[in-house]
Amino acid sequence: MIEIKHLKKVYLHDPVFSNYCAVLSEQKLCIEAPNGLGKSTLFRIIAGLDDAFHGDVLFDGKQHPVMQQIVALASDSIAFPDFLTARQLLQLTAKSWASPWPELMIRQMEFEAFLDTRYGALSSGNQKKCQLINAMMRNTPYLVLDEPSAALDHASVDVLLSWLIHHPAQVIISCHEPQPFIDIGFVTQPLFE
Amino acid sequence: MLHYYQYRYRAFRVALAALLRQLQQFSLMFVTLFFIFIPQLIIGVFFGLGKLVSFDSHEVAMKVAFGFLLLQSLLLQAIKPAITDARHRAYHLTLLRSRFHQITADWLLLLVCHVLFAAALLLGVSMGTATLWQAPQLPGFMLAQWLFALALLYRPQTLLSSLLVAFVAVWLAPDIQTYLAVSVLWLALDWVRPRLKLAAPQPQLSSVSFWYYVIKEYPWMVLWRAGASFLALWAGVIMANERPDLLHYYTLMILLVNQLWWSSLYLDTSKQVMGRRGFWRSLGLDGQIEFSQNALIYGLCLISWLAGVVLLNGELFTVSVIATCPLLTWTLKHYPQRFAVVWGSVSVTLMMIKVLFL
Repeated sequence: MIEIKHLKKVYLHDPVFSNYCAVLSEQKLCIEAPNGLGKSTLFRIIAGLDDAFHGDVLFDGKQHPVMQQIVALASDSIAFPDFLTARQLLQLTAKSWASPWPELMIRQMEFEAFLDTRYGALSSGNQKKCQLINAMMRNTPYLVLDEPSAALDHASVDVLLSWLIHHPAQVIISCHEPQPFIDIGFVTQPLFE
Repeated sequence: MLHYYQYRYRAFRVALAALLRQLQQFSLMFVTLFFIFIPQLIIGVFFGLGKLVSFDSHEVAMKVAFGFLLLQSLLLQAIKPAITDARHRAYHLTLLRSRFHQITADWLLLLVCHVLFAAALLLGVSMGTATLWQAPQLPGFMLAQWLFALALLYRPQTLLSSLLVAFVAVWLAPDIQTYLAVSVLWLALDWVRPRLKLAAPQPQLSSVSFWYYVIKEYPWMVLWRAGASFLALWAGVIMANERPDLLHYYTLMILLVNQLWWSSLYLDTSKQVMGRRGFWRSLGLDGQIEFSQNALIYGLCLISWLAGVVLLNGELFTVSVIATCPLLTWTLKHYPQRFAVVWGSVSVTLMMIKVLFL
């Protein structure tokens, strides 16, 4: 369970969150909100990638000093070095977090042929696959996926859903077409209640 | 097709304005500090070109020619994205049936920006046709200037190899005519050769080897600084021969200028650190990557400083230049907009100490 207490986040004088409180308790949760209201910003904060905020983020009632250690995020908002190949990016993640090489995920996503392609040269669908594998290979207790099905083909969405059904982590996603995720047990929750 | 040329002109002006905004502080500082030298600088350009027309030794003419070719490459590289409208090349093709107008626009804008070519042209015109026939190396040099500039726009690898050949040829060519012919011929041949795909080493990715990949991807960010440092040191070596009595002042200034180039690398490398902060944090490597960035910059500043000290026989006081490096990188990290002022203040302070107390 993730609790957000009194979150205040400002982007260039524009408040995105002002005294925002939320409890994300569902094991499989889909956050809903129209574009531009701050879903990706909230995800970056939860994943420990943005520390320019006021307020508390609690994981099972406790603060965690290094949130990125326990939360893996797949999001377009993480700017990967586009001159590195997908293999190099995944190797770096494997090395940094001592994760096993995600052989099975790569095979199931049919991503082998693109491992030696530079991230910047990948299609948007393959970039999304790379982001998803990069986050899911870490096996963290919290998994946050920002628009996980965007740009993916049907077969890859099916593979993703099959992974998420059995995934032991608390999985939080944002998605504008949530039905396939609701079908496998995701519960929707508006960003602002 | 006029609309396309109007678009290119507008895009050029916008890119140029952005570039000038970035360099505003530096331009202002340079003009403030060195405004009395600006006329000498312009005269120096024509003096150098004059050495190509009338010279005592072919070696001097060849050195001047190479210096100009290197200098124009550094100047034009800074403005290249504005000339070619690099970010929107694909968009151009949605407006055009062929690349003819795209290339024509590139060449016109290059002509506007190529001040060293314009200076040579001005000199050639002022000499008149009859005198120009007696100095055929000047039109030859202008041809080399133009071709080297085109290589910079379209074949950067060819430019690098041609500059390298031109540098070596300074010591091998018997006269300036042969020198120019060899340089231009090499450039032409290298331009048409099939592209080689060299398999560069692929070290395992880490927070240290990451910089190898960055430099491999963006070699110009190191190459232009190396070229600028080389030119500054070369100028220092010439001054050492001409006015050895003033060398200790020039050495300090050259070391400070070189430190300016290399410490400003912090800005370029920060795009990979601060610009990808989320990525590094997601890996838990944000501390390591910042450390390796600082190590890279201090290392390169140290190498540049050592090269200057060894070549120009720097005295003990020049240690103060390298000692200010952490201050410059700290300024770049926290107050990048004040970098020019801080560098200027450091330079003036050290020069004053040198002049007044040592």
